[in-house]
Amino acid sequence: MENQESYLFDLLESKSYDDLSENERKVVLTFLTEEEYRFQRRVLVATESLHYPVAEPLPLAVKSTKIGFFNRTIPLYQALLGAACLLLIFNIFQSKKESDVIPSVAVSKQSDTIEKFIYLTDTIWKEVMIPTTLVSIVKDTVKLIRNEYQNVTETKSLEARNTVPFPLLDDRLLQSNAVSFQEDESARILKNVAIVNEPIGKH
Amino acid sequence: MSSLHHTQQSDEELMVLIQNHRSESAWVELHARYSKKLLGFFIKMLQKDVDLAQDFVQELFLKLLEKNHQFDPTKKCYSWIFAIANNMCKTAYRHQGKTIPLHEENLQGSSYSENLAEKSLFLDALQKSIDQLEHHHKTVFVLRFLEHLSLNEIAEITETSLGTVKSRLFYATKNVTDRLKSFDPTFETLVFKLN
Repeated sequence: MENQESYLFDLLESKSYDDLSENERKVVLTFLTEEEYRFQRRVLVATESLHYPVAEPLPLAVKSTKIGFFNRTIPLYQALLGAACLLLIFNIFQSKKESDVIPSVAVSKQSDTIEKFIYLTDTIWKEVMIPTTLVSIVKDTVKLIRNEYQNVTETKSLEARNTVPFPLLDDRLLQSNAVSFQEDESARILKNVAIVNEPIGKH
Repeated sequence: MSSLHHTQQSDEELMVLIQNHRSESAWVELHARYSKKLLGFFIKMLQKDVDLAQDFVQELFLKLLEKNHQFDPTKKCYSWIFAIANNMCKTAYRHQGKTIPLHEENLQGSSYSENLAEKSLFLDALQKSIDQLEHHHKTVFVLRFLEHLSLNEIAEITETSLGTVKSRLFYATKNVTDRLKSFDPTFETLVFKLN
């Protein structure tokens, strides 16, 4: 049945009634009258003249699948997991920071020997001239005693009151009543002691 | 650069891109290729409701994106897209009712025979007759005589055999002409002659 209908449609679409062969007309007339066949062909032709509104399609309404980072919702366990990871990272950085402050003490992990650093120090003495303030000035009086040695046979009087030869003064002393040396019993014999008290004029 | 690349790709290649990479640009390219044709189909299938037809086009491409995994790359893309469109119209028919009640008196009357300018009324009646067809008949009729697809393409879209398509077309044509039999045959001849 379907085959016949298909065949009929092929004829209907492709041939007018006048173009049908004898056999084809027999088949057509089995199902349709001539007027029906002709009318159906005309309806199909008229369909070409049908007018339908023509419109431009609207642009695609793209749903934003991108959700803003702060607008998205995540399960609670993911939030907790993220917070735990952050804490872990933070602790790692903190411990790394503290390790930089520890003084470098070489500790060998592989050997049992523990190295101990002994810091040797040298004492350096440095003489520093400390300027002192002058408190007192000690003066030494230096007396210059001049010993004159006269290589003379002259004798000198022990009682010379004045060792400094003052000729005038000596003369005056000589004029006094002095005991001569030779006559003086207390006189000691001193070498090179010249008798001075000689009366004047003796020369 | 990517849009130029997509224009050189076939429909099936674009669908593969959508399947594998969820490529938005490929999806937009498919819309550019098919949207107008689909809109025309929906307008014809949905009794010239342009707004509804626009909504159907949008909804179809969203379905295309969501159900891209159902596409068989070995088959033609257009047949799959029109199959989705056909199913959408079938669902709409189920919700709205199969056919609009035919008011015979609107098609009769001596007024048609009196005024040759009433050709448009005949065409309007023809449109209504088409709208009143059963969904499976209307689909094949619209795809063949209004969208001008081949019988093989219609068979792929409707997922039926070629013989079934022809059989449905035969009955669709018969039903449409049966509704227009109230017209005076002689007038119809004049109308067609004017065409």
